[in-house]
Amino acid sequence: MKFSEFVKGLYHTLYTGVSHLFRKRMTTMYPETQDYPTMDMYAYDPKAGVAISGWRGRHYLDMSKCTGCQLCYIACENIAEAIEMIPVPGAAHPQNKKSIYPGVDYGRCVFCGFCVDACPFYALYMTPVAELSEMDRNKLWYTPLDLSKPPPVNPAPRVNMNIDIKRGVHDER
Amino acid sequence: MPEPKWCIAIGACSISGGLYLDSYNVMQGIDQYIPVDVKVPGCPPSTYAIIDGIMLLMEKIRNSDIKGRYLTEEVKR
Repeated sequence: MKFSEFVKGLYHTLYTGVSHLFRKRMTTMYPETQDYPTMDMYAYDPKAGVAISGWRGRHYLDMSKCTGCQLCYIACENIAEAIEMIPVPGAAHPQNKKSIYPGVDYGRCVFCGFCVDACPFYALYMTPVAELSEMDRNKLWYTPLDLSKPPPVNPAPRVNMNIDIKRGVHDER
Repeated sequence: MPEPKWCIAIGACSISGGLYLDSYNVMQGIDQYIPVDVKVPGCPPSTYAIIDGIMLLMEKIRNSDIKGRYLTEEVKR
């Protein structure tokens, strides 16, 4: 091996190592920083004819657009059977005469997004919210009123973890 | 398995049967047979959902009385 090749290799190694110090870190400290607002919602683009890519999480239902046509229910019927049309008596929207809206069972939903594609009035979206875990099975049923809440703008972690840098996760009891 | 122990159902298949709900060799949810503490929906659940489910289980462990849960009535006396 020539001496010039040795110097070249040494320089290349050091340059690669030092240049990684100034790069932006890809790791997200998850429970403290949640980047929902920067993420896209999974929705159907009528002009392009294809779905806009985005995170597929909890649905968002626009109750002022939903007409109760049950197409999302039909799209889900032979896949997961998670969507069921639920009557909401209090909701007074003129376009929905039967006053039925989709409710989703997240114990069965596989987040395929076919209901979003099937909606002809663009009333269903999928938000990036993925924190749906519950202790009770019945709480995984989301009524139309639950689905019509928009995703949180500044989400806080659901559980306060009490992380100490020196001791790690600890339990003060 | 010795106590204390907890159980997390991860994914739609373990919560309700998922896509194979009507299949003859799939149970309609594991919580009919063994007690499940936390259910994490998704098919498959995203990494955020699994971290959130484990954090929810940590909160449950923190708020629960482990002695009272597992000791039988005779030992309590």
